[in-house]
Amino acid sequence: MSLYLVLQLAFRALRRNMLRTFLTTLGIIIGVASVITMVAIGQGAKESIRASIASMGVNILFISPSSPNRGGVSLGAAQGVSLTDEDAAAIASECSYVRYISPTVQTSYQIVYGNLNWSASIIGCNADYLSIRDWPLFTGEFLSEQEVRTAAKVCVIGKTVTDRLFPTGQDPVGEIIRIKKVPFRIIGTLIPRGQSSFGQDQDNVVMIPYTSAQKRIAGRTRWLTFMVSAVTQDLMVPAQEQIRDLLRQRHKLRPEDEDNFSIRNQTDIANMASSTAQVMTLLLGSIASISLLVGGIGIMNIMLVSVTERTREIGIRMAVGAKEKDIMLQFLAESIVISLTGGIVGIILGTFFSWAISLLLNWRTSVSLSSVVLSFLFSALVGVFFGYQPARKAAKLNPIEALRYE
Amino acid sequence: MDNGLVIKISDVHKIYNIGEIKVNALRGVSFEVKCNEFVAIMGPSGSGKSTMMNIIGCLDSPSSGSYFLDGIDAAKLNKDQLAEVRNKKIGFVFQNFNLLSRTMALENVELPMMYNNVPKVERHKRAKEALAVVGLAKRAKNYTTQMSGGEQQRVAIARALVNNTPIILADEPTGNLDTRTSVEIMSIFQALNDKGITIIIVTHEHDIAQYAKRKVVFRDGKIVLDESIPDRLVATEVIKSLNTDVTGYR
Repeated sequence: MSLYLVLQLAFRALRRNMLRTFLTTLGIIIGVASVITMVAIGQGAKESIRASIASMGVNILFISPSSPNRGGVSLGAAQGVSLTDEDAAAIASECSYVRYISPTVQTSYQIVYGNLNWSASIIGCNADYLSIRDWPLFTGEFLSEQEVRTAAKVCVIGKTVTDRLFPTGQDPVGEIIRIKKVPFRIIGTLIPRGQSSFGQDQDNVVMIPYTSAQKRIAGRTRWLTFMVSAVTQDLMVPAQEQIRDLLRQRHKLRPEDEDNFSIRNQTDIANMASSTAQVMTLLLGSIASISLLVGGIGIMNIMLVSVTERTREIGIRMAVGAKEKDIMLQFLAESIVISLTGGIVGIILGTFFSWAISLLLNWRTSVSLSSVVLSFLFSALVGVFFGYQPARKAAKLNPIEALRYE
Repeated sequence: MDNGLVIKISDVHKIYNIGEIKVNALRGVSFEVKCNEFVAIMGPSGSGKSTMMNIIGCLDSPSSGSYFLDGIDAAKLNKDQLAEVRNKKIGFVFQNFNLLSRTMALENVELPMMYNNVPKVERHKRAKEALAVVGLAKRAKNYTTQMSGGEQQRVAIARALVNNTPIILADEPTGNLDTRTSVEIMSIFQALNDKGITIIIVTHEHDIAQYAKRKVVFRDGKIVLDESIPDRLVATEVIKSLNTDVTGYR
């Protein structure tokens, strides 16, 4: 029997019991749709975490002083050899895989403009900082190298700070704000970035030259950290190696000494954060697959009933020359048609639900090609797996008894 | 064909194991059917005629003995090989018609050709021709459930014809039909027999057996009588006489 004929027979048989076919298919539709939707929600969560981390820049390395360990006593980060301006200059000039480096000082202060005040995080950095973070300006200009060198009292402010201190919508550029009573002139504003992966408002920020931060705000005691961007994402690891070698040499560490600094990259942080979402995806996906399994059992149940019901038909077919294989194929084709139809409709519905969820609940969802292909294959497999036993039962019938069956 | 034989059965035994008990359904049956014969197999229930029928029809295999069907040794075939022999050599007609429910007459007739890889266009053509032979050309698209018993049996005969098998095997073909329809069905069988098809019918009605050319009677798993029918009835003439009877009642 040709495949076309087998399929034709299957469709004809399924059409004869429209309601039953629909209900059986519904089991698979619900199964596949829920797998697609649940995985899309999980994937979406993972992607939004990754995206917000990547929004800081995917090729960024953080270098910070780490606590040296003397005789088993951890001395705390600030106690060891600090990272210095010279270290930064050396990395910039000697590490070929490093594109930009900015010493950074991070702190948080109350800032004042007129009769308004607001608490914002203060980032001391150099002229390259925005390039590292791939963060465009909204208006004005960014800190210049000259201003960094001279510890100028200039700043660039984020959207939240702009909104809080200039609620009337006036242009903040050229205005003077006070940070810890020191007046800073606003020379630019940043475009909004939204929340970071850890829920912080990235726009609640004031950027000043790191030299000014050290001299005028935080004081020399505040240690520096470095933010570095590698030339490309692929060169992160070599860049990390170059920096490590250089810093070990500059800090005069013996081979047996531990590093007195630490280098972390965005991928490490992103992986850590998204592993939670990965677990959630797996959990949601496996719960949803249970409904697919139940749908499969539904197919098997109906096919078994159908074989019993059509015993005489099987007998007739055998009498006129159907072989075991022909009967087997006929019933297997029916269950596969059910499961594949269910699979396709389920994928469409699941995609629709994911879209509706992202639209109505404003969750990020992502229907990946792999989850579509996988659930399609899985639903086909469900059809074969759960259809096999009933089809075998049909094929093994004795034609004499089947013909006599009432 | 060897000596014009279509069926050659020699010393066939059939033993059924029903739990502990062994049932000897056939105890050494031998007989031959020549090409273009019209045989009626008769006998009371339990005589072994149904078992014989199943073996001749390749639905079952004998426990011992040999069975040659149209030159093929059918005694030792497996299930799939038997299916192929059934498809190519035998057309079945049953007492309860055994048509597919909720299916058009045409599709029922096409059924044997589906397992014979006949292309769709030819399937249609041959099915229509077979329906024309049994006088149902205009009812091809009708569902079998909308047909009378006689019409359903004629669809079944068309189905038996359609693969051009040398033998038609009919198991109590008139058992569910009234007298007049029975005679009509027998007239179709006689017409087919005249065209050269070998016909074997199993029946317990003596007046139906009278339409055959030869009568084989079974009892207790053995053949007790095998004779040609002397005063054979011709169905077309019987129908004519039935018609005059009806006018006589008016």
